[in-house]
Amino acid sequence: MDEFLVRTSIIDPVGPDDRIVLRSFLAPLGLDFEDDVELSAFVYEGDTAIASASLAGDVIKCVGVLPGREGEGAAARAVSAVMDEARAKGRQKLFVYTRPKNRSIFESLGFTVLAAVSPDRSAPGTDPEGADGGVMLLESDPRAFEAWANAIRLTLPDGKADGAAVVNCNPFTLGHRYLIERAAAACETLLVLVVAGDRSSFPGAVREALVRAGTATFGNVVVASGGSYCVSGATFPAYYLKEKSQAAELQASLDAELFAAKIAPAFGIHKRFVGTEPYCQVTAAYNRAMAAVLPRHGVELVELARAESGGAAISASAVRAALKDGDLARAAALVPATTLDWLASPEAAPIITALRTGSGRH
Amino acid sequence: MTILNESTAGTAESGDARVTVRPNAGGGLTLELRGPSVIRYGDEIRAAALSILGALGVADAAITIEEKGALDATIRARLAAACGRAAAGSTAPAGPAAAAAQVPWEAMA
Amino acid sequence: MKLRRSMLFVPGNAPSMLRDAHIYGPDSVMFDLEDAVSPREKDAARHLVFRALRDYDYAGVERIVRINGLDTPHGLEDIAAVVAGGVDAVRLPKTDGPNDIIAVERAVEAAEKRFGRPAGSVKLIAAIESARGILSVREIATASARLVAIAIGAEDFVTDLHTTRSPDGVELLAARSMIVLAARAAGIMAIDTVFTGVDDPEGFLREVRLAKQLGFDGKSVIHPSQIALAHSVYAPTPEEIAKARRVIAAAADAEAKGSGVISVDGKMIDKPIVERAERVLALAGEVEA
Repeated sequence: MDEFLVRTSIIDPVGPDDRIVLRSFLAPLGLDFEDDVELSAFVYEGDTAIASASLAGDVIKCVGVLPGREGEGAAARAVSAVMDEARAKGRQKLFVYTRPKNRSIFESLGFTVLAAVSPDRSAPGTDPEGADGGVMLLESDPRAFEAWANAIRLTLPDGKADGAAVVNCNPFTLGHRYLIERAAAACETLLVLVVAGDRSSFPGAVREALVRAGTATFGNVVVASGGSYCVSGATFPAYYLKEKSQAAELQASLDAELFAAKIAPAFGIHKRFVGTEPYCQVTAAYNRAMAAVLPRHGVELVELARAESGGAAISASAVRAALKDGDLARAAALVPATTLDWLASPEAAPIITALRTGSGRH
Repeated sequence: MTILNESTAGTAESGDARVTVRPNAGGGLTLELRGPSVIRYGDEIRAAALSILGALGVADAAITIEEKGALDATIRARLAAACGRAAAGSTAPAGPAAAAAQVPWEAMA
Repeated sequence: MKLRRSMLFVPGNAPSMLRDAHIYGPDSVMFDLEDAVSPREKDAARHLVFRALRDYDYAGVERIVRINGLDTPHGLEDIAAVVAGGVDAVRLPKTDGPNDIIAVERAVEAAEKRFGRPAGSVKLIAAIESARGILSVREIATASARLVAIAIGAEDFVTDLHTTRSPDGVELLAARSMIVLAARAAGIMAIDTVFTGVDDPEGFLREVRLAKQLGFDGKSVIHPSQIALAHSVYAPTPEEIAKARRVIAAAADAEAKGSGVISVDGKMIDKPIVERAERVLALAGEVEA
């Protein structure tokens, strides 16, 4: 790059016209542009845009360089600009999903790899530098994972948990409690990680609080936030055009890889408990991915049949549907008293209202 | 100059250094150097950093310098800027105007 | 005679560029703390420029810093930093009237005292970028003994005029001429505006030739490739050099004889011709060097 001609421009916030510009820059590179992007950076040489990077929350995504202009530091400059903007907004810990081939760009900016999967799904993690496909997750603060794990270890007896479950609990139902009860009975200490984030109808803090309240009587259950380390469909970007149909599988594999290779060893987890999934395709795909990945790292996947009520598995979506219909009694039949108490509280009112007026699946 | 917040200055570009300054009340100065020049020029980088810290009167701070072939002048500038930002008395990212008011240019000359 | 045929803009927040800018051979380097630097990085850029001025050897190339205006939160501290750093000249952006110059001069004077620099050692260059500024150019050009040059900033200027820049620059004609007139009347230099078409050397040459013909002493440049082009336009031809040498020789001759009359090729020549010959040889001297 000719330094005298290079300039970086920041688009914040990203408006409809900007989206068009970004889409047309990224599409020829085989990348889609995601609607949750808040801000973007473009690196120009003269009047030509040669690289771009974007930010959604604390996730850097949609990083692209013009073919033929790789290796000049343009992508790094775009990412760096996005990082500066994110830091100015107080987001110190950043994550990035990118193709494994971009690893060196991010490592040179101080990111460390958390997990990687190659496009060959039969052997995820064995070829992390997979040429063009696959996905890698990196984080900007090399101490962040240990800090997260340490804080949780302080709440675990001897800093260990031999069993774990990762739950969304949107909201916490009798079905969740049943699974956790059975899982807790099958191990010494059960660590329940609640997927963080506020994209579900019930915000992360609420979901976590309801899980704590609903499991308080179980002596060997410890609840914690999954922080940024339990990858949800909401945070995982499905912006690889070519692999859009495979996005769910990639996400599941990456999450499974992250759990098995980093989270499980951090706490000495040997068993991960999941509920069988009769309804949700995405969750079913998750379980399949975990069944493939976990045993390779010495973690047993235990599938537990879900609790039933009236012949149907108790699910959080059924609770949300009941709330949407304004049928608190129907919802009450599916949740424990602790959740019902909260649903009846003033704090729940705006969330229930949003459910009734909104149309989101989650 | 009292370090109140964590602040950074600089970039990861070639020829630059990213300097992070964190409070270290009562703990004196700690200096962590990272980068391709550290093996050969670690002593010079350290000396440049200490001279700036002395000029600014910074006694308690945890400093991290990640350089990419930065010359002493760049390291001094980035460190001085990071200290200024870290000393500005607010918890929000310190603004340039607040940071500017305390710069003893003559001491750093 | 200080030459300012080319003034190379360098962003103040780029460490490597600050270090190396002079190697491209401009007459002046201009470190920019204003438009090239985002508000969030103004403080860091100020430190970089301060250190560059203090620590780097620019081999005699004039070091100028474009500060932020005193109407911003940054201007005053910019002046402190660059005067402490040892800058040769401070360039004010967006000069609208003589009071802008006077205010900066006061701040520069105070900084010279504070940092022990010889009084008057820091020069000023004023950029005029508005209609109001152009209409006050006479007062601006004579507002301070430190002022060594005035410049036109075309981008903001044409916006102020509610028009855009065109290849032949007709919209800038009046402003350019007024800059030159005021500069000459005040005995200072006139610097033309930047040409942004880095991929258009022909267009750049046309503009430099126009500027030179109008009387400008030099041009602001944004890319090293423009430096040699600008210098080539200002380079005297061999004929001009030869003629100038004869004029200077004749003047020296007349002085030696104690005569007030200078004659070259049978013609009488007067003081302005001698001064022009001196300028030509100065330009030639640079080229030959």
